[in-house]
Amino acid sequence: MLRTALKPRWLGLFAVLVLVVLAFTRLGLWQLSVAQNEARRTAAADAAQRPAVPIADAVAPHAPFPAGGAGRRVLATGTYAADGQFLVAPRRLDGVQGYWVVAPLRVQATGATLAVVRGFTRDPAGVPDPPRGVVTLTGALAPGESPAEQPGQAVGASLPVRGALDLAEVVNQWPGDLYNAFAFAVSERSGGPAGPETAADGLTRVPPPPIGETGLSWRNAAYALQWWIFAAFAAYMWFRMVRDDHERHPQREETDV
Amino acid sequence: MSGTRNERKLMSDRPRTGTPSPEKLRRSLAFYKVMALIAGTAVLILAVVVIIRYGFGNPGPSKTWSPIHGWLYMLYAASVINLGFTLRWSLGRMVLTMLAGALPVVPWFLEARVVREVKAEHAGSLEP
Repeated sequence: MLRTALKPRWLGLFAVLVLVVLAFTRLGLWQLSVAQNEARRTAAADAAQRPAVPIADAVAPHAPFPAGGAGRRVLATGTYAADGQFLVAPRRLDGVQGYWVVAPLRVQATGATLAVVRGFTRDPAGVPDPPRGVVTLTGALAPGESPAEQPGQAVGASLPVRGALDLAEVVNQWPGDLYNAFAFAVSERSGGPAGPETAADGLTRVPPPPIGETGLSWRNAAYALQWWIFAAFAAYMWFRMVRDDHERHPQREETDV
Repeated sequence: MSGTRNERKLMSDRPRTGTPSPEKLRRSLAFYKVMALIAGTAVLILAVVVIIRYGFGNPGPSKTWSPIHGWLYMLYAASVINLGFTLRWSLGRMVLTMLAGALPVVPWFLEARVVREVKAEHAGSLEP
């Protein structure tokens, strides 16, 4: 049968088969990555659906980060201290390199400070001041980051640039008590929770990252599997055609042993 | 390579000639007929749910049906491969028949043609 397979016709078709299998395998891998992204998006959408709770119900100043608190939506009313702002770099958002803009929010109820990622910017020189007056923040909680190497000062940056949102470092920079958590700003309203939403002033809100394993979207995982099964079909067809040819026109293989 | 292997092959029940066994032909054709009917209907439903999704902005039905359609199409392709090898179709014909399964309604008409053709060529095999 090997001699049959080595006929020019089947060799040529084998080259086509290899291309088809490679293409289908890649298409399957692509669907697999879609499956992961879909699952992440669903998880983020689910987290966003959960109602926001007052920050006092989620975490207290100095207290350890609560179990299951990551991604939880909280409401915090207070005032920003514009002079405490800093940048975190290097950060990426949708494939673009830039900076996180972090501002201290003094929470009215406790007097402690919450680090808030107000948004993402590419321009370290044109970072807007946080809104003045009383603000009600809706944010997604996250635990502080591990220390990272200090990046070089950005050209033209008016604010200090840090390598990570390391709360152990931040506590030495900002006066007063600090929450052992930070928040990704989802929205800011001036005054109470029913107040008008304030603009992000050119910052792009950073979507809270998914926490833990989010699994696969079974739908796209099935598409991936189907592509691979089609690749197997193609391989089977090549094999069957060679075998049928071999059985109709047996090559005298014993002669060349 | 060895004589015993070739002898064993000669005795195997796989047909070595161009004529498939009547039983095998009947089964392959029945599988293909059912799958052609299902595939033609499945794509028709797919077209409707895609219109509902992009024309009317409701992705629900499409999200349910698309994966089901994927598996049904796979079964259709398997039935074409199965029948194609039984009838010794060319590779081109097998591939085209498989691709036809991705169009709405077309597999129905193709199925009618294939059945007519098989009945003409293998009249004896198909009689009960």
